[in-house]
Amino acid sequence: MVKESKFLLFSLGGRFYLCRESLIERIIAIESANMYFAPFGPDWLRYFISYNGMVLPIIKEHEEILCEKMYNVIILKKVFNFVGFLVDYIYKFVNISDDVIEKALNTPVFMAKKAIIYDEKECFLLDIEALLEGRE
Amino acid sequence: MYLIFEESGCFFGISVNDIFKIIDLGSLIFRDDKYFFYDMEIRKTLISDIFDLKNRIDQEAKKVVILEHFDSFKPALFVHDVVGFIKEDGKILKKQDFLNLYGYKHVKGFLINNNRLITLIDKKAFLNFGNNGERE
Repeated sequence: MVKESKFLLFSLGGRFYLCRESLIERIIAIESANMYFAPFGPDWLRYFISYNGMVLPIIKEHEEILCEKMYNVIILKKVFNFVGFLVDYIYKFVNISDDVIEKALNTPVFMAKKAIIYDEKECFLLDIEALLEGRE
Repeated sequence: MYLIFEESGCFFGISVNDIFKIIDLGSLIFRDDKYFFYDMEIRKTLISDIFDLKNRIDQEAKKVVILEHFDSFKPALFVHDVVGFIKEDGKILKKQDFLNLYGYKHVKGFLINNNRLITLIDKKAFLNFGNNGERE
């Protein structure tokens, strides 16, 4: 029997990403008025939001004026430090065989190191290290 | 209670327990390359000496926040302007420890007030700076 894992398919900056379901704490929609510019820190640390009595950093590749009223944010679990990132569009959860994930090709981009082909699209696998440590 | 001041469009807070006195810049005497308040030596520090601000704006300092310190000098923050005071009321948003890796080592927490993010800073940041004159 083929072993599968569940991933969330979303798009960000014109790319498709897959995020392992087990990494996700919550998916929220937040008003731009409740997002605050980070006063210092690396470029990719763009904003802060208030979440459960703490300040949660929001990661984004490029700076932009927050012109939309609401933004979708995926929050990752505390075991990886609570951290969130803005996404453009959330599609659906999909099951992908572990074999396919293991054969992912090295394709480093923002927040990811590897990619697979899913549904005829190049999809980047969200990677915690790339997200937090590889971007300084 | 925290004193709130503005620098380069960002808002910072420092506990009133850490403050000796708040004065106008014009109240200081500059003599032999040193600042004095009456006969007390004042060691100048700017927020941009401690934190690598993202949107640094060179603004004229109007106020001097002299910090409590038992030594031959007192460290002082030269700030653009003082905004006022705020009670924390137990609403301080916690900082996640991993943010220390990204320049937030001397941040105690955050407050949100009037749709502004206020970064609460630790007096220790300025004491360390006074010793060697360099950002940690």
